[in-house]
Amino acid sequence: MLHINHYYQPDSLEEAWQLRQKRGSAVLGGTGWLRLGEHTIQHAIDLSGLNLDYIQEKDDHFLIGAMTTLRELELCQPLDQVFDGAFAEAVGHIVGVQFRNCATLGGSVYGRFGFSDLLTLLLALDAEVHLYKEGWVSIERFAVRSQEADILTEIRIRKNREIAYLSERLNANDFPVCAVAVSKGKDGWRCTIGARPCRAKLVRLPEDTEGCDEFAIRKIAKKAAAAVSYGGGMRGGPAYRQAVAEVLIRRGIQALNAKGGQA
Amino acid sequence: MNKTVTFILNGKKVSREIPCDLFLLEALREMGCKSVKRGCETSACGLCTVWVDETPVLSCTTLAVRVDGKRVTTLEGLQDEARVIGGYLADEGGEQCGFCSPGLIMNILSMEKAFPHLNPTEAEIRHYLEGNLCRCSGYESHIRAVTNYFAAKRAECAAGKEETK
Repeated sequence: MLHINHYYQPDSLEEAWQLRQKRGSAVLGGTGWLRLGEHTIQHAIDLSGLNLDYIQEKDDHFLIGAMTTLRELELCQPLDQVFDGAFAEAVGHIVGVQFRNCATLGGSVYGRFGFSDLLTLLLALDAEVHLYKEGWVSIERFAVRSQEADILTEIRIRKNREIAYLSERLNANDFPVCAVAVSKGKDGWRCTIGARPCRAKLVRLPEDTEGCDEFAIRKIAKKAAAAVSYGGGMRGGPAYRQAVAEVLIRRGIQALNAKGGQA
Repeated sequence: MNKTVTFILNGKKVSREIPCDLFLLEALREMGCKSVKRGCETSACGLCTVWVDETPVLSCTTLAVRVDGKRVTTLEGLQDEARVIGGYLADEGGEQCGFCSPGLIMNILSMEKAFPHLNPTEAEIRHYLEGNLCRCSGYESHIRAVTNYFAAKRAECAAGKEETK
């Protein structure tokens, strides 16, 4: 059951932040998972009126507002072109179109859910999260923290990485058994393993991953998959998830190396 | 805490004082829109699909206060269109217990806006309707019905264009 004692639609981020300082407050995202537990929210803060629904393409980065829906991310052509379809691949399997029309980027990222496809993707892209009072925070730092009484306003994603996103699901629109994103940029290779089913974690891949042969890629993938811990659950045990992660990392590296070969 | 919410429901302006934690599903059913079915109530099945400003959403997890100032459409407001799609579903054996049909039909109708050329591929149809669960049909009859529906719509459009020439 969900109980909301007070509901606010603030007119400014400052007002939203002031409300967020109250005990028992919560910012509403898409509200899709709210019914899954017993929740009493003393002060529900709805950011719908703050124009945080946008995807802006700049010269070297994208700025995406917190209230942008997953469906908008899925259909955004500039994102699709720059990141070779990785956004559509990451969010396009989440429940269904109707759900993705409601679920928001801010809600998905702020929740730091263990099953999150989006957090897995954004970690590999070295994105940054903007919090109203704190300012810009790297998503790597943000992902490991506990929830703060601030307002997530937007996310910045630089265009300087190539990325491959892969996940394994038992059913088409189920949570992933394991999700992996592999990216490469001038500062090296990054790999994130999500849906472990704990929060996505970043693993750095060796410099010489570029242009590796099949045997070396297998070794790198095995080592990367073993670098994080896995939990069990109805979708798979730890050993199974690790085995899936290893395969997905290998395929991710192969996909990026193949792209390099084409260039 | 209650809040007065005013919105357009199936073309008519309505205003209600509702609790802030009331979900749109309950609000709409209380207003007589019984086509909006209560299924999983956890964002999984698509039975409760309605449109908010022409966009399909899950009413079971959308707070009713959030539709203030918006347009909400349920199957009650799309009777003629629904009857046509219902015919295609029946022709293919896709209407069995019928409980998922209102949500499914709402989502099929929203596909017309997502695919303005009315030519979604089978893969696109499957992907778009992934969030509409059905325990009777096994989905194959739904896919045939939707494919036939769009083929007929395309033919209708082509015939209309011929006539205007």
